[in-house]
Amino acid sequence: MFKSHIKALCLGAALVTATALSVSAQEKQITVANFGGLVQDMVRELYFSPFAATGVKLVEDSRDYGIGVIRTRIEGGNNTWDVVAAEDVEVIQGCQEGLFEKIDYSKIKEAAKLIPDAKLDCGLGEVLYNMSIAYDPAKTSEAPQNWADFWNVKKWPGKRSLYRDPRDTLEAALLADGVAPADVYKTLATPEGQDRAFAKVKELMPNIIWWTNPGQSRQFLASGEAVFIATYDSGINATNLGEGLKNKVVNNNSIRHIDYWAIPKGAKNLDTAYSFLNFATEAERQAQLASKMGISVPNTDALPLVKPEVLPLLSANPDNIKTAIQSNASFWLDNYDALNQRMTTLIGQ
Amino acid sequence: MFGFMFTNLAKIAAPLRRLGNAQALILVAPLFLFLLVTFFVPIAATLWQSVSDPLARQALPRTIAALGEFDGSSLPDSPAFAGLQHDLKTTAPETLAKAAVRINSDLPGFRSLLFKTVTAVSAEPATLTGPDFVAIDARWGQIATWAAIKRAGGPLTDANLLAALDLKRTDQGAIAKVAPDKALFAGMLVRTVVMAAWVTLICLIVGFPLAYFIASSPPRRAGFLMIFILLPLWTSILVRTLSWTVLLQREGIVNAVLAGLGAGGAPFDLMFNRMAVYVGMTHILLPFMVLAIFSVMKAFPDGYLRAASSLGAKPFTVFRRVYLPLVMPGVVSGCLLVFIQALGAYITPVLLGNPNDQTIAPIIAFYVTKSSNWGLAAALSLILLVAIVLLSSVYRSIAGGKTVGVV
Repeated sequence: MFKSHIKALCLGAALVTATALSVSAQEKQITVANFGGLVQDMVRELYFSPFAATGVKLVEDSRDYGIGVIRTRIEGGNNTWDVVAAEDVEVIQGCQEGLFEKIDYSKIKEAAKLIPDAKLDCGLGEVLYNMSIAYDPAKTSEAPQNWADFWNVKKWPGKRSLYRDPRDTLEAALLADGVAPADVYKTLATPEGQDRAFAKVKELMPNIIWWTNPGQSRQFLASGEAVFIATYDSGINATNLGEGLKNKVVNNNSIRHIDYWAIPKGAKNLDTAYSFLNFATEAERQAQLASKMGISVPNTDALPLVKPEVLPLLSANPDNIKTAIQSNASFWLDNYDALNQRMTTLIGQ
Repeated sequence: MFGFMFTNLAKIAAPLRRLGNAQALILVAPLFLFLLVTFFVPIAATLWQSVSDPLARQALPRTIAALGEFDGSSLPDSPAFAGLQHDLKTTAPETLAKAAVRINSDLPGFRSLLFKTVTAVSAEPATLTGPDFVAIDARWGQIATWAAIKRAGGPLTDANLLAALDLKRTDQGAIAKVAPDKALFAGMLVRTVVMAAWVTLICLIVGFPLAYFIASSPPRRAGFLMIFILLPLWTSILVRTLSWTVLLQREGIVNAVLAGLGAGGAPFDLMFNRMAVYVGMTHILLPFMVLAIFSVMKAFPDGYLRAASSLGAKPFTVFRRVYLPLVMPGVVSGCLLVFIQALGAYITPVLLGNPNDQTIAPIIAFYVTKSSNWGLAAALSLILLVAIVLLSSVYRSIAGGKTVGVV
């Protein structure tokens, strides 16, 4: 995480300096903060650079997850970001607290083509991805089918790498324990369900290597330290497509996520921010991103334009949606802190 | 840390007073002002965060006023429900959202309960009673919900400080331990102190002979060696920590060398354990130990040692009775410098350690940036600060006292 992060930060700093030297007051300008990593690399190539080519000075920045920094920026009055990538929980909480502008969907040309989940009050869908099981078929005798297999250390001995976070990990634990996909959040909302999820995590603990950044999880898979990893499908697809790796994603029982674009309250370049949102919502552009990275996109017109060989990989592919569960942002807004504390206590023992 | 500063300030201030020169004091005034503005005010403001609790009071003033008599033995009376209805209708959504997050940190689920209730209440012109609220959501009929609102009523709170010590208040207001599977912070604080103490000890064992060797080297060699001590200080901590990753990982250099030497059982798991954290932190903090001790050793007059020897003391006695006591101030300040920095260790344990080698600093950062529970972050900082001040004053009174006694 730190490596890619530092790289992104350095790049951001270089871009900021370069901009400061060259920008003239009349020029259109916009600062966009993304989460770094593979997505930001791809988005830079396919969204940022072409958008800058339309005559806008685009300053790129990167940020880490967490509403705290955004709140400090807005309330401290020195926010320089015009558009940020944000997680669903950040968008919802930030919207309620008045940290983000409400998005005026009449200004988004292709708004009608976006899937409903991609149109939050303060968040316009950026990318859709899954938390899924991934493995290297060359090193695995038999393909795992679901989270129960992920937990099955008798049949597949070796370490597994999981996200060091209660979100996704507890859902996976309950699915592994036989809870029906439709009942996962109902179960997890009860104290008994939480005990059950944590007991299941504890059961696998001796065989878990935790990751804090998706790049780490892929590294564990590549080096053979982990036989299975729970990671984002887009990272596996992107490295398969881009670097010719041969890892596989299990699309059964995946946990679906959406990241959004949001406009911090009082953004200095609101009009340009909307131009960027429009630009980033165009079907063709989103299809390019999906084709190149194997990540799903919210514009429904983009799917038919995606390369046919990539289409089956996408989390938005109807076959993959059938058995997936949608990560429940409202549940996590309510329970993240408490469950995170319990998880930190469990794995810190 | 503070002890340090005060002694130094006192040292500066004492001769000035003797001179009786008021002008000189004016010259020092910018320093005091600087310290006040950049040091004491931010710390005080942070600490204020840990006990201040205004959010719920701003959002639900009538509800909280109506809960004055509520003692957690039975549900509150109708004024509380009326107050809640009024507050939910009149308070700005942003203010409500912040209060919801605040109370949710105490009672998970309160956030969505509040928003659900706002939606239901906003369409309701009539006055709602208790049963009406229970019909909206059964949790309004639970004492725990009202107790959480009352606990968040402010304007001051002890909730964060209690939470930082793995304690909480029950619905009836008594102090109790949190469930063992949620007791995170106290153990982590102890671990942080223990790890810092070990790093300090290792730095001392490695640093003392090293400082002695440099101090007793001829100037050219000493200067050359000093570069090696200082060089790491000019490199970022991140880079130095990551280079240990390169050395220690399973396919790393150390394992390759061990395998090459025919060590059985290689590759070893050298990373993601306590030892790797100690190695990384010692590497980062060693220069502070060496420099602090070196500066005292360098100024040590050789004549004392010769005098002791000529009076018949054996080499070990010279070391123990003369040399060690006189270089003790350097050792004391070196240990303090290393210990305090090790307590705040952030990156090294994250990158080189296991989840059970983590220190408290990343947890504090989590509550600042990710969860934005600044109250708890401030409380954890306060506990850490108090621990540092206590430990260092105890340490200084033991180590420092001995020095003065011998000299």
